Amino acid sequence: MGFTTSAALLDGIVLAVVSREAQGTYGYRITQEIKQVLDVSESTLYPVLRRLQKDGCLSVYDQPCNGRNRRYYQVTEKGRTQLEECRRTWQAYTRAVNSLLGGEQP
Amino acid sequence: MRRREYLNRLEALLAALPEQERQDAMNYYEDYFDAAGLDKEQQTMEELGSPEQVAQKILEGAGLNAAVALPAAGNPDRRLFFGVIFGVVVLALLLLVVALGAGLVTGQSSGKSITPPAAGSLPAEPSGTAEGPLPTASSEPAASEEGNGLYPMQGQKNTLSMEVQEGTLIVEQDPSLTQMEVRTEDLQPGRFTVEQKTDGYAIRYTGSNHEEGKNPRIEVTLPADAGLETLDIQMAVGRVTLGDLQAEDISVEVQTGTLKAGVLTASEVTVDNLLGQVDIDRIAGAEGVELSCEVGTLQAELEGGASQYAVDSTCNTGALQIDGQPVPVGSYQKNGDQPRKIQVEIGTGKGEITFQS
Repeated sequence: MGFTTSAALLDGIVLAVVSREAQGTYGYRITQEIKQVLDVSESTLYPVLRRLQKDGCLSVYDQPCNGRNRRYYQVTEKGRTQLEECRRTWQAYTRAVNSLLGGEQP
Repeated sequence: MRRREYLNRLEALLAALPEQERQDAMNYYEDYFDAAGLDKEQQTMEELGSPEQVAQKILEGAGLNAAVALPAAGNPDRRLFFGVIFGVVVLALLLLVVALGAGLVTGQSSGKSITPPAAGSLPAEPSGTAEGPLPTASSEPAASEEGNGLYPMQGQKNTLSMEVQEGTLIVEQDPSLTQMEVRTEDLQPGRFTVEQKTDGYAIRYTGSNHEEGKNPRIEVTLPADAGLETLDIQMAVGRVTLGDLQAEDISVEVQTGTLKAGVLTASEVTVDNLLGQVDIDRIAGAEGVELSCEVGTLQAELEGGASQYAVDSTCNTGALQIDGQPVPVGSYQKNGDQPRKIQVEIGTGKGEITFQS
């Protein structure tokens, strides 16, 4: 049995992974880093990156690599704010779920 | 399926997206394959899932209702169905040719005509090539442009001629392909043909719908071992973009428009431009080079040093520089005893010939 990763959660995860690299990081690497931890399908991440870019949470720049341009993603100020918000929501959520499901004593 | 086919198919499936978004998505997945590395192509394709699945995600993400048909790979009914359709079309064409006194088929009379399928139908399977795999596009809803598909190249002395009335023509070579791939966009219906000759293909577009705000575009990608003897391109009005190409003999004529080329490797290279701009990264391996530009600018680099070429130039009222030196107006010859020849004709425009070393 698995839990689905909601779109909002996936946004937060991608923002968190991208924010780890000050210089920005690229699609393949983002995907591999997330995949090491979570079982997400590779093809779900492009739409997420695209959406975050459109919403102004990620900025992009191209840098030559092996004869063609590679696109790098960086978290913007807006993205940072959203990431913080997402973290707070997630912590509140996990605390609540843990209090019921986690076997912790209230 | 190889990376290139995978990406081509994905691109076709994204036809509903605006150009920019499609380009972004394609760049992303090109990047993705690059980053994964050459040795992981197959694995990457498996991990990503089918192009249909990837396309569906992208289209959903773009807020489009993703009605991506899952592949009906090698569906025999489908093949039969299109085989029959194709047969009927060929028959109709033959009757038409007979009716017109065979005046339609120029060039070699033994050439077979490949009829472009009508808009909305599927790519034509080149006739007489049953052993070649079907175009992978056979269930692609987006590949409705005429002439789209794969065409096998046979032998080592092929002639490829392309005649385009107007539009953008892109010719490239891709080592991962085993057949010639043709893709078209925005063409005026019924004006495009890919005719199979005994020794290659004649591609022709006689449409003229530029004024209707259309941007007709023809993209031809050649396999690495295309075995080209002659590559002959004629563009009336438009843009020709050539990648790195090899043939015995390359000849490009752009009446009005631009020509941009990568590295052209051929023993004879002829470029003729009446009005416009010519920009060639390098001409390599050539024994004979003829460049002419009536009005406009011409820029080309030649392999080797200036001293290896016998120069024969004619410059009327324009300006011509060869190897950084201005060439006198009128007729001019230099290094007449060199075996490699370059002939340059400049009308009122500007020409610049540089050398690799």
